[in-house]
Order: sequence, then structure tokens, then C-alpha cells
Amino acid sequence: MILKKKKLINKDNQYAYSEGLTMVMQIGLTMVGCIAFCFFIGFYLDRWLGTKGVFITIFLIFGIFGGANTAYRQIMGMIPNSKPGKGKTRD
Amino acid sequence: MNELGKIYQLIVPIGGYTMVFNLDAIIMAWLVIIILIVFGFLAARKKALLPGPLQLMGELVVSKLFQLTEDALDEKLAPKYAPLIAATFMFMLLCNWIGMIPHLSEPTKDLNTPLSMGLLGFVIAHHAGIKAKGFKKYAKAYFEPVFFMMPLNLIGEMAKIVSISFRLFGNIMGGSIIILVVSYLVYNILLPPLLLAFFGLFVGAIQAFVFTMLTVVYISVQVK
Repeated sequence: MILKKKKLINKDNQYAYSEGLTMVMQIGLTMVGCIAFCFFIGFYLDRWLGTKGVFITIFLIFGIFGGANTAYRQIMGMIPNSKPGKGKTRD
Repeated sequence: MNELGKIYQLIVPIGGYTMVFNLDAIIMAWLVIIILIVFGFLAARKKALLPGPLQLMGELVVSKLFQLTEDALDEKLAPKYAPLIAATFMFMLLCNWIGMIPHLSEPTKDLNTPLSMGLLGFVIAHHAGIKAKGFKKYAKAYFEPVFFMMPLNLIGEMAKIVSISFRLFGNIMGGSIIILVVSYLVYNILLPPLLLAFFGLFVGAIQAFVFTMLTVVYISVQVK
């Protein structure tokens, strides 16, 4: 039996592997980043306008949905044959 | 151990405001820049067919990063963005590695450095997007798939700066704290060099590569 040596990472898919690995490492943090970013906007708006927790709540909801949306689009962007218009738009 | 949490700051009062400069980060970043300029000068000084060690190192880094940019963007755009990508990678790599030299510290340990680099990549990516697609098409992408998704898309874009910079900062800061604490606990015997090799060399190189890769991906997403 002759075993053929198969190269898993060749020159053509080297970039695809690197991109996939990087995006996988980044997706979780993108969600956290969205929520943290919105939390701080809400926090400073509350402090500036004297409202107690109104903007934090609104912006936290925005952050959670924004994070989920961004993560979904990034995942769909990595799948080669994802349906057009369903996520594979910007990311 | 006493070094933990100690930051040397230059505080300059201007009018009613104060400007705070983190001296460690600024001096170390400039040191990295000077080292890179000297390296570039020495590597490109004598371009021989049979390259010397410095030329070989320079050629290897530049050609690999050029190839990476070419794969991500295309042959037309690669010459334009490859210098930026190569410079970002080498700057980040040296910033992460410089802390291994005694009495020097990583500039990336200060949030301002990764944040400014992240902001730079973000601005360049969006500039490239506007240039490649035109402002109308670029702006239209924010209203996809439906118009009321615009705030969420905007938040997603802004969060990229936060995530890219906080990841680098967290890894480098966390690494240096672990090295300090563990070195103190084991009385600086045996473990510190191994920790330095892992957090300094390995994590530093991985984080520099990931940062560069994300900058390339953000540019390619905007351009395509």
C-alpha cells in the first residue's frame, strides 16, 4: 500500500487558514467589544444628562443585538457558499 | 513585584485641561521605531545576489507579508497596502518582544498604543472602502439587509477598534503580570525564562500576526 503524503496547508489555502483562525479568535471579542462599547456610551450619556440608567439599558440592548449581528455576519462571511443576502454582506 | 502598577507619567496642564503622557510607552515606541529604521537601512544598504543575514531576514519578512496582502486583496492593491501591513507587523512584533530585554517594557502594555494602531487600521480600511466603492455604495452597505439595521452595523464597525486593541493589550498586559507574579513566587528560579519564552516570544508573535491579519481582513472586507 502506498501512502500519499497530503499537505494540509499548501500555498493556495495558507491565507484562508490564517484568515479563518484569526476570525475565529476575534468573533467572541467582537461581541464583547460591542457590548462594552455600548455600555460606555450609555454610561457617559447617563452621567451627562443626569438620567439614571436609562441610556445604559437602551445602549446595552443595542450592544447585545449589535454584537450578535456582527458575529453572525462574520461567521456567514467565513462560510464559502452561504446564501447571498443572509449575512454575507459587509463582514 | 513593586513594578506592578507603576506608571511614569508626564502631566502637562494646558488651560483648564491636563495632558497626560505615559513616558514608558512613548520612549519604548520610539525606541522600536528607531530599531526598525536602522534595521531597514542596514538590510537594504547592500543589495547582494547572495544575501547577508540582515538582507535575508528583511526579504523573508517583506516577501511573506507581501504575499499575504496579495492573497487578501489583489495584485493591483497589494503594492499599495503591503508596506503598511509589513510595517504594522514588524512594529507590533518588536513592541511585543522588546519587553524581554531587562529594564525595557512593551509599549503595547499601555492601552494607548494598541488603540491608536487599531484606530489607524480602521481609518485606513474605511478610506480604502470609500476609494474603492465610492461613498454612496460604501454608505449603502450600512443599511443592509434592512435600513433599521444601520445602528447595529455602525456599532459593529466601531466595536472592531475596541476588540482588536483590547485583545492585544490584554494578552501583553496579562502576560507581563503573570511573569512578574510567578517570578516573585518562585524567587526567580527556573520558571521566568520559560515564561518569557512563552508570553514574550510565542504570544507576542501570535498577537502581532493576528493584529496584522485583522487589519488586512478589515481592508479586504471594505475593498471587496
